[in-house]
Amino acid sequence: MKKQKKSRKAVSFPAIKTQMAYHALMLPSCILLILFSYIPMFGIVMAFQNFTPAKGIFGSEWVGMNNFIRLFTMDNIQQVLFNTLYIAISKIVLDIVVPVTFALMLNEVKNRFFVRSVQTITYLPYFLSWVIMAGVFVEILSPSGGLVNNILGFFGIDPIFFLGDKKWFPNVMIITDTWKNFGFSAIVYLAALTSVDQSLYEAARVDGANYMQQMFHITLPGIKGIVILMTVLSIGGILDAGFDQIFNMYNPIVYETGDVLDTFVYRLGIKDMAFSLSTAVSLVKSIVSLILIVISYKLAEKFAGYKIF
Amino acid sequence: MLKKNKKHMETGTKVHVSWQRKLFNVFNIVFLTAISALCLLPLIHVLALSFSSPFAASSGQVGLFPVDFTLEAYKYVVRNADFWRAFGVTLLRLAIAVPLTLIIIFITAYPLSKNEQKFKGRKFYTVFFMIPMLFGGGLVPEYMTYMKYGLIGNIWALILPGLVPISSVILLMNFMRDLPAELEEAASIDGAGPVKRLFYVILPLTVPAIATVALFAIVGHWNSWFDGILYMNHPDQYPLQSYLQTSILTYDSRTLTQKDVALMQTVSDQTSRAAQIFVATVPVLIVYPFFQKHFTKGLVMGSVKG
Amino acid sequence: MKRKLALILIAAMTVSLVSGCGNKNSGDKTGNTSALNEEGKYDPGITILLGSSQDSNEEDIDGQNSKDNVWLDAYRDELGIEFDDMFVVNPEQLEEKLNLQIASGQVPDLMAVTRKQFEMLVDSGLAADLTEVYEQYASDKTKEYMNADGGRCMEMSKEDGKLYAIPATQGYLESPGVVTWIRKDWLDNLNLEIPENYEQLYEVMRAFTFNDPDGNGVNDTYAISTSNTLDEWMGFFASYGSYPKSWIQDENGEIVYGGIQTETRNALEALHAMFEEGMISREFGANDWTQFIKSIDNSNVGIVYFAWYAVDWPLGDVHRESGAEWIPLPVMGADGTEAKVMGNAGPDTYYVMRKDYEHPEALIHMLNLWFEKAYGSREEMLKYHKNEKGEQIANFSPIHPWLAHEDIDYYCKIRDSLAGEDVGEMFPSCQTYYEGVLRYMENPNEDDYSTYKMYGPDSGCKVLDYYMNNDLVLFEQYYGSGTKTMKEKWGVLETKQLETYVKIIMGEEPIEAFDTFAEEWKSSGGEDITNEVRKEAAGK
Repeated sequence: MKKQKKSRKAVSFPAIKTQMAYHALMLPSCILLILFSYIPMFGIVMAFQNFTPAKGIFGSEWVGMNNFIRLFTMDNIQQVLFNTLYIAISKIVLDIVVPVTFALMLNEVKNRFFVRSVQTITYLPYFLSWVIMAGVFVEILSPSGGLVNNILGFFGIDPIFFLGDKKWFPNVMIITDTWKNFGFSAIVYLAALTSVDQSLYEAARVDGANYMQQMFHITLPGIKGIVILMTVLSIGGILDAGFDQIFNMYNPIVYETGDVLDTFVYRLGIKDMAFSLSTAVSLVKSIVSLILIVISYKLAEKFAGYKIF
Repeated sequence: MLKKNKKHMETGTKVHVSWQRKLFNVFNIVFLTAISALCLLPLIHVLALSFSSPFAASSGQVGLFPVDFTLEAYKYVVRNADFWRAFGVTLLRLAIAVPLTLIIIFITAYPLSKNEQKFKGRKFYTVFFMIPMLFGGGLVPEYMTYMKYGLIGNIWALILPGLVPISSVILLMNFMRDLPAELEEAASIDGAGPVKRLFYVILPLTVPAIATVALFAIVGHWNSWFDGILYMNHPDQYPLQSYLQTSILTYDSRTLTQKDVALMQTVSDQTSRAAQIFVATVPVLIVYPFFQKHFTKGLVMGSVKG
Repeated sequence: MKRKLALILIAAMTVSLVSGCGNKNSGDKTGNTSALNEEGKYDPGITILLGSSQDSNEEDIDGQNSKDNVWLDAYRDELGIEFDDMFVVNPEQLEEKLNLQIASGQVPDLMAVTRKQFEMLVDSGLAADLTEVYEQYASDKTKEYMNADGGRCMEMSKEDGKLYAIPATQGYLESPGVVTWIRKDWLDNLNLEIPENYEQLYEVMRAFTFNDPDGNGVNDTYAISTSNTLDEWMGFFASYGSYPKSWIQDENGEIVYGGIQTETRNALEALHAMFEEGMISREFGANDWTQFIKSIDNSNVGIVYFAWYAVDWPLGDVHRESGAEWIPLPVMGADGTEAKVMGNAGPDTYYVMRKDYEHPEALIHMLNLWFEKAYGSREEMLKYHKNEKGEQIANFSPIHPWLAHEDIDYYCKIRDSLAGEDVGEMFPSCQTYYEGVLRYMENPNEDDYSTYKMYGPDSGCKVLDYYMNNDLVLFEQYYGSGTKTMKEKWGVLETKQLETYVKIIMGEEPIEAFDTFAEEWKSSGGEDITNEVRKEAAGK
C-alpha cells in the first residue's frame, strides 16, 4: 500500500512531462502531414468550382454541384466504373484465393529449406516496381517474338496481342497483379497456419480423421479469422484497380476495357485540363472508399476483434 | 515434452502414409516448384535477353538461356551516363529519406501505441492520421502547393511528402503494443523518461518491425517513379525508375497509337532495355536477404494481432 | 486562285532574298527597360523563358544540338534575345508538364501549345494579346507567309477577333486519305489501263479481287482495306461526297456532321455491296493498324487511300520487298464527277506568349527573323532550314511555322522546269528533289523512287495541285477542342458510329440501321453538339 502510493507519487509529477514528451514526439509527423496532406487537401474545393488557373482556388467561380452532375452524366463514366470494379474485385478475390491455397499447399511440405526457398522466390516480385515489371511484361507478352506467344505458337495458337487487345487487357492486369502479389500475401496466411494448435491434429489423427477432414475441420477454421480479416480490409480498396500497373501498361487501344478511375482522373485532370471535373471524380472516389473503409473496419472489429488504430 | 510427443506420433504414423498422400506430396512439391519457376521465369527471360545479341532477341529466339552470348548490352548500360546519374539521384534520395522516415515512424508510433489513459489526446491524433489516408487534394492541388513551397525541381519534393507513411506507423504501433509493458515500467521506475525509454528499451525490441518498415521505405523509394516525372524540372534530376519509365517504356503509353505499337515492336532495342531492367533490379535483390530474417516476423506481428 | 497566290509568293521570295536583318519599324513604344535599338536588336538583351523538351536520343546535326545551334546564335546576335529553360522534360511529358504549370498559373514566357492548351490559356487569361504587336511589327514577308494557306491558321488563332497566338502554319492537304494509291504492277499484270473515272476504278477493284493480280495462283487479294478506325477509307467515302468524321456545310450552308448524312449512307451501301461480292476482306473490322499494314506488305490489297507522301511510308516496304509499283491518283467521284477531299483541321501547334511578359513583340521579331532565314537565300536555307543531307536544322528554332503548301510549289517548279520553263532559283530542297526526279526519269533507281513519286510529274503532289487548282478541297467547319456536350458524349457517339458502319458493311445489319443510328445520334447528344458547334462557328 505504502509502496504503491509512493510509486504513484513518483509518476504523477513526471506525468505531465511524459504527456508533453508524447506530444513532442508527435510534432514532426503532424507538421509534415499539415504541410503535405492537409494544405493540398484544400484543393478539394476545386470540385465545387469552375477552376480557372490564373484565378487560383480563391478566385475561381463557384458552381455548386455542377461538376458532380456533369460527372454522372458523362458517357464513359459507367464504363470506367465497370472496368475499375471488374479489375479491382477480381484482384481482391484472387489475392485471397491464390495465396490461401498456396499457403495451404506450402504448409503441407515438411522440408523447411524447401518451404523457405519457395517463399522467398514467390514474394520477390512484390518488391519490383511496376515500371520494371511493365517492361518485363511488355517484353514477354509481345505478339511478335514475346516468350508467351512463342510458347503458344508452339501449340499452333496464333499470336495474341495481350496488351493491345480489349478482351485480354483487363484479365492480363488481374493475372499479372496476382502473380506479383500472391507470394507476399501468403506470408500472413502461412504464419496463421503455423500457429494453428498442433495438438488438434494429433487428436484428430487419433480419431482416425483423414487429411481432407483435418483440413476442413481444423486447418480452415483455424485460419478463418485471418481470411475474413484480410478480405474485409481489402474492401476499402475496391475502387483502386492499380494505377501504377495500368498506367505503365495501357494504351488508347484498350482504354475501353482498361481505363480505370485513377487513370481516368489522371487523364481528365492532367491531359485534358478538366481540373475541376477530375477533382470531383477523386472526391467521389474518396467518399465511397471512406464509407467502405468505415464499414469494413467495423466489420473487422466485430468479426475478427481487430482494431486498426 | 509436447514436441517429443509429436515426433513420436509422426514416426508412428509414417508407416500408415497412404498412397494417395504420397501422390499428393509428390504432386504438391512439383506444383510448388512450378509456381516458384513461374515467378522467376519472366525475370530469367529478361536476364537471358540482356545477354543475347540484339538480332536473336528481336527475332524471338531467346527463351531462358542467352542466344549468341554477348555483354554488349551491359557495356551500353555501363557507358550510359544518364542511367548512372539517375542511379545516383535515387541513392541520394534513399540516403536522405530512409533514415529520416524511420526516425519519424519510430517516434510517431511510440506515443500512438499507448492507450488513451496513458496518452491523453491519442484519439485526436488517430483521426488526424486517418484523414490523409482517405482524402487527398489530388495531383493538381498538390503540384500547386509544392510549387508554392518551391519544391518543384528540387529533390526534397521526392522526400518530404512521403516522410510519414501512415501504414508503416500503424504497423510499428501494433508491434509496440504487443511488447510486454513490464519492461517499460521497470525502466520508468528506474527514472528513465519516455524518450530515454523509447531509445534504450523499445528500440532494441522493435528491430524486426523497424527492419520491415525500413524494407518498405527502401523499396518504396527505390520503386517510385511518378513523383520524379511530375515534380522534377529536368531529366537530369530524375531518379532511376522515372528515368526507366521514360526510356524503357519508350513509348508514351497514353498517347500511343497502333502505329507506335508496331514501331515499338520492330525497332526496340530489347537487349539494352533488358540489361537496364536487370541492373535496376539488382539492388532490390541485394537488399532483400538482409531484411528477410526480420521481415516475416515484423510484418506478421505488426499487421495481425492475436 | 490559291495556287496563283502561292506562285506569286514564291516569285516574290526569290527576288526579295534577305533585306538585311533590318526591322525598320522598331519604334520604342513599349516604354520598357529594354527595347530594340536602331539595328533592330534588344539592348540590353532580353531573356525568354521556355518550357522545352529534350530527347535523350537526339543526334547532333552538323555539330549542333538543342543547346548550341545557329538559331540560338541568330536570335541572340541579331535580336538580342536569349532563351532560358523554365523546365526541360522528355518530349512525351511536355504536354502534361505544361498543363500542370498552367494549372498553377506559372507558365513560361513563350510556349508551343496544343489547341486545347491554347484555349485554356486564352480562357484563363494567361495568353498575351498579340493583335497589336503583330500588326505593328510583322514584316510584309511574315504576313504573306503566315497567310499562305489563305489565312485559315491565323483565323484559328483568334478568339473574339483578337490574336492570341502565332500558329505553326502548315498546308491543309497533309491529311491521310486524300490520294488514291494504286499498284501499277498489278494493272500491268492484268493488262489494265490506269483508271480515269470511278467506273473504271471499280472495274480495277474487281479485277484486283478476282483476277489474281499478283499471279500467285491463290485467291488472296482484295480491292481495298482499312484499319478498324476506317480512317483509310475516308478517300473512298469522299468518292460519294461523304465525310463521315468531319463537320461540313450542307447545301443550305448550315454546319452538319458528315457521319449522319445521306451521302455516307450511300457510301456504306456501296461498301456493303463490295463486301458481299468478296472485294473486301472479312476481317477489315478487326484489323488494327499493324494488321492493315501487313495486308499491304503481303500484297493482299492493291488500292489504298493515303497521304501524298505515303509512298515513302508506309508503302515503301512492299515496294522494296515485292517490287510493288505505286502510282497516285486523285479520289474520283462515284457519280462520274470530280470528288472533293477534306483538308486537315488546322495547325497542330500554337505559339503563345505569357500575358504579363514585358516583350510580347519579341515573338513577332523572332517570327520575322525566322522567315528571313528559313526561307531566305539558298545559303541561308542550307544553314538554317534543311542541310544538304535533308536534316531539319529548322527544328532548333523555338518557333518554326512552315510555309504552307511548300511541297506543292516544289512540284509545280519541278514540273515547269521539266517543261523547259525558267523558274528562277529553286529552294535548296526543291533543287535536291528536282535532281532526284531527273535522275529517276533518266534511270529509274531505288534511291530516287520516293522523291519521284512525291514530287515528280506524276506524283502525290500533282494530285494535291490538281485539288487546289480545281477547288476540290473542303474544310473542317469546326476545329475547336470540343464543345461542352462534345466533351461528355463524343466518345460514345463515335464508338456507336463506327460499330454501326462496320455492321452495315458486313451485312450484319441492313442499311436501314443507318437511319436508326442517325436518329439515335441526334437524340443522344448529337443534336446539342450540332447546335453548339453552329453557335461557336457563328461567334467567330
